[in-house]
Amino acid sequence: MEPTDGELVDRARLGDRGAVEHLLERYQRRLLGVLVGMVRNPEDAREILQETFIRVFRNLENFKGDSSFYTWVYRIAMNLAIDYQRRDSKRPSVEFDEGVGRDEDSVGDGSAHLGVNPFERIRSRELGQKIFEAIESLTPDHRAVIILREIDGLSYEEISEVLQCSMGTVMSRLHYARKKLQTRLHEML
Amino acid sequence: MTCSEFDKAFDPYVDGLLDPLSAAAARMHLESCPTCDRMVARWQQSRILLSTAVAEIAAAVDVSGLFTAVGSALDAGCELEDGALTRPSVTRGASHQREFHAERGGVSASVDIAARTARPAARMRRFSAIGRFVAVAGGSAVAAAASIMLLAPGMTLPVQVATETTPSTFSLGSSLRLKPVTFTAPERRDGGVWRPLLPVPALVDALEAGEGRTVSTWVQPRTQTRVIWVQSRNSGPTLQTAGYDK
Repeated sequence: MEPTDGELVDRARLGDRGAVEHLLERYQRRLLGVLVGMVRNPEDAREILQETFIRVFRNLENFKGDSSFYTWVYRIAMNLAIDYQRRDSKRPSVEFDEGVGRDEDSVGDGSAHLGVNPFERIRSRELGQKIFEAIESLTPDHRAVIILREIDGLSYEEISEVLQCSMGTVMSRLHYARKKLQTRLHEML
Repeated sequence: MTCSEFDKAFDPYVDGLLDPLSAAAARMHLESCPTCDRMVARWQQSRILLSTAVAEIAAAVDVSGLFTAVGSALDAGCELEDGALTRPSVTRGASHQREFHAERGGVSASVDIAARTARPAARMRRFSAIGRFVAVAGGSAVAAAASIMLLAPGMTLPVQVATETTPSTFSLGSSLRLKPVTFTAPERRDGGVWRPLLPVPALVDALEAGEGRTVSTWVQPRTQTRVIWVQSRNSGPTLQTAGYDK
């Protein structure tokens, strides 16, 4: 039977390195998805992910159990990501790296990646780029709620715990973000 | 349901959070309102595109070394914004030494060794998040044993004050077998003095120091190493090793 987060946290506090690793592996992929949604650049997302876990395990004693462990972890991650975005907004935006995770040579050479039509893949990449451009038109706070909801499937209540705001604020930001995304995508597509 | 009412119910509707009656009313509205229906369809498309775009990028990120990287960062005792990592307390060890050295008129080199063993339980809570428990506990026991042996009655120990960065020496009036511990710890500059951040005791060797020999121990600043040397009267310092003799 899989240990609970609480059990792993208790063991991690006592120096159980295996528990640390277990917790990290339990949440790293989920968090990575959220962070990619927030910052887009995969290297930046990984860096923020690493920093998140460093802070989590440094400050494990500060986790009081008022919220769930993963809510606490997400809160740290989102704060780092939002800080990053605020700093990054002052720099030129990063171009969407179409080469990441894709075989550039596969387009048009007949060896369709995973059986998908290469022209569909081009279209998919273009759409993906437009999606991120639309996401980046949102403020960090609006981006946070839409990513937590759409990428990680957190409930409104969980989002409010992570972002430390009221449910009403979550729903208001979500509504605004969805409307704006739809409008932007409609213009682009 | 009107378009305005549907607009307010849009988010719980697409998230599947409406109660059955409200959901039914929303579906009826969509059947008769192409504008709202188109809005829902666009959102569903956007949602799929967003999830796919993120998943494709995230899937390509290599996280295989993440645990190692996190562990290394924690081991290195990187600076914290809240300064959570602190020096190990020297109070208990130093006071123990002061008691002893009040008798001897000085402070022993073993201050540093004992200091690092002070309150091992507290250090474990602070520093052992990634599994230093065994090393700290084992090293502490050994270092404590060494300290006890050094402080044994009948020994003549002309000593000098030990600090983190200066050598401390003492001469042995009689044969003494002790088991030193070499500590490797990252250090940080704190008020001009290099101080250990995370003592990581590691048993190196047993050490036999015969009569007339001088045992010195000091921390090499910025090299993260505490070294223990044994020096005979007629020769330079050497690091001697021997089996541990209880």
